[in-house]
Amino acid sequence: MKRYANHAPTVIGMVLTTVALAISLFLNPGRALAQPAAPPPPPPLEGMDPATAPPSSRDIQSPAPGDDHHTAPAPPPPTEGLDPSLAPKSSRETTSNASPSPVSPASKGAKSLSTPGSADEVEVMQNNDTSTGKSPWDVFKLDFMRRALLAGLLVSGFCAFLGVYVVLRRIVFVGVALAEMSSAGVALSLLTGIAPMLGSVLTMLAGVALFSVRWGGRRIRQDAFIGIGYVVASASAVLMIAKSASGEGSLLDLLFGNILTVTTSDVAVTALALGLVLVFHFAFYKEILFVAFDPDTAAASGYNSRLWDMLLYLSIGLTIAFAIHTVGVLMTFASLIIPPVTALLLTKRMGTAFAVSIIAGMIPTPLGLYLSFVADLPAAATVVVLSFGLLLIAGIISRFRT
Amino acid sequence: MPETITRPQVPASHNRQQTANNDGIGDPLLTFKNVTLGYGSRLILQNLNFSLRSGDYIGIVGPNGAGKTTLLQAILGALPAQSGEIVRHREKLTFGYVPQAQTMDDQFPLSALDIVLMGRFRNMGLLRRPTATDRALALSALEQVGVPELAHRLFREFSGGQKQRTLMARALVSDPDVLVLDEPTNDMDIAAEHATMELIDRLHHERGLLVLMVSHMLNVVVNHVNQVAIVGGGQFTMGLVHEVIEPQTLKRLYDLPLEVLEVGGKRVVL
Repeated sequence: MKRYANHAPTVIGMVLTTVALAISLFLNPGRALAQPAAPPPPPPLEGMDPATAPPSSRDIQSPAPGDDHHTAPAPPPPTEGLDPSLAPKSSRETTSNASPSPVSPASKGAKSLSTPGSADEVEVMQNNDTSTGKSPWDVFKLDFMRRALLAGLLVSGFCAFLGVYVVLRRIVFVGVALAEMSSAGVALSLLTGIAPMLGSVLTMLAGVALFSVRWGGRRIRQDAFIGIGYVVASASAVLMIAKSASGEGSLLDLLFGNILTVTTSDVAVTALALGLVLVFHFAFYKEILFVAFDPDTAAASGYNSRLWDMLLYLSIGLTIAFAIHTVGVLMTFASLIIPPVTALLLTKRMGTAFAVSIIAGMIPTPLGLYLSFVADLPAAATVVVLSFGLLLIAGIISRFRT
Repeated sequence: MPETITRPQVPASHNRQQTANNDGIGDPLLTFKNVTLGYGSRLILQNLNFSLRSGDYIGIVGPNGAGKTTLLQAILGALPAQSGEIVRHREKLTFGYVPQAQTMDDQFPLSALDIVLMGRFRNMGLLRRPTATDRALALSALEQVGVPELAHRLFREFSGGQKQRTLMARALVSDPDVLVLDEPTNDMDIAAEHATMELIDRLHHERGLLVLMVSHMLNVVVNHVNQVAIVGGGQFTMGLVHEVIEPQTLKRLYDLPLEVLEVGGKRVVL
């Protein structure tokens, strides 16, 4: 672990502190949640069994993920695929509840499955708590869980991939600051009504532009300005949320994202953007690596080091910006650091480091989503803690190897 | 594997053998004409007039902060002249740059071979992956600097001397016109320093490269190079070692009463 003594452990410490803070917010009903007490944990959903669910379940789902999804993220549709007699009614209800403001459903739905909305829905879930024959992966037969899984795997895998550069280039704090900037962009979208991903990309670009200027010349080091960017972005996000229609409850959305209310088009847009990032990194791997490892020599042999560095930062920023809306600051930031450190502790080549990092980044996602579902925990925080568990194992293995 | 692939440098260097041992009478590669260098309004060096010729072996010396790095940046083309003209006599003048070994990052999990291959990237062009030929060239470069056994070991675990040699192999594999070394013997014990300088001498001799070496270790430089460029106090002097390294110049430069002695055929600055 000694090699990464510089930044990574501090930052991991910060992540865990934030997790602890966030969990304590969740456990303190008065302040954090509109819903006072957590409802009983959702039972395993047997109604999802395709054998028992009638063919009409597909028709039932169609209104929910349908038309209004571009402007208003839908509330979690816990009734999808459940008891066919009850589902249509409540599913329509939730859709209509979503309308008054484009922002309210996001704030309501994002917490976790512990706030399934109306009493009706809880009842629906409980009504199904009777049958038998449950496989843990039945959870992912729910459409919204499947979308959450897909989005989660996508962003955690990409963050873990680019995080290898973040850790190796010692720009962990830049990653954190860009994540916070992007989250201020989501806050901006709640305030102004623009698409959250557009908001986060805009503020991320502003961040990259601001950080590429040497504000202090030779007198003040750049990291001070990155720190300022981080803290001002956080403060702006709080201010914008306070003035937005959804109110301060949405602060938790910024922290934990909206993974359970991710829409199909969200997933598609994210996949497209990250696909571009992947193509870029695949095509220019050797240039990116050379400039990242040794910018002076790269410049001496004719590469524009500043340009390549900027492109690397932009691709990292883009990944962060798209991850923020889905999984929130916390999980983005964690996936950017913890899996790469896990990988770098275990591997001795760039290629295997990337591969192990991506795997270590993805494994906690389905596990975390499942645990958050059955044990009624916030999804992103669960994923972060599981990811840290993997890091601990890697740390122990690497200790015993040396 | 054909023979030409494993030993490709020898035919690649055109006619350099002939210019190798001439003291600065090879073809000019780079000429500074009345060049002023600086950053913004801060002028570091003024009125630079000199030529670098193929086969030269030049040490750039001077006190810390005098402008050695600035000069090097201008030679490498990373810093434009504020006035005057820097003429490159070849259309594609390539530099093999060897950075200070101890400033290299020790986190990247890269093998010596990975690092030497970087020297080929520019020759490969964009969107190309290293081929078997590139790999063979990289291995042969490691052989030339005497550390073929390091190829598949991790760079970050090397000693200072091993890192230095790996970085030299990377500079050589691009088949450069100019080999530029930044403080090649910094932080080395005397044995490693000796071995490194022997290697640089040999490369200069065998391949007829123009070698530029920045160093603050006067005693090391004066016993190996042909010419010395002294940078200090806003002034620049360049000439043969025995012309330039003499008490008056050194007194002006370092403000110390220094003497140049000859001991067993070697110069010592005290």
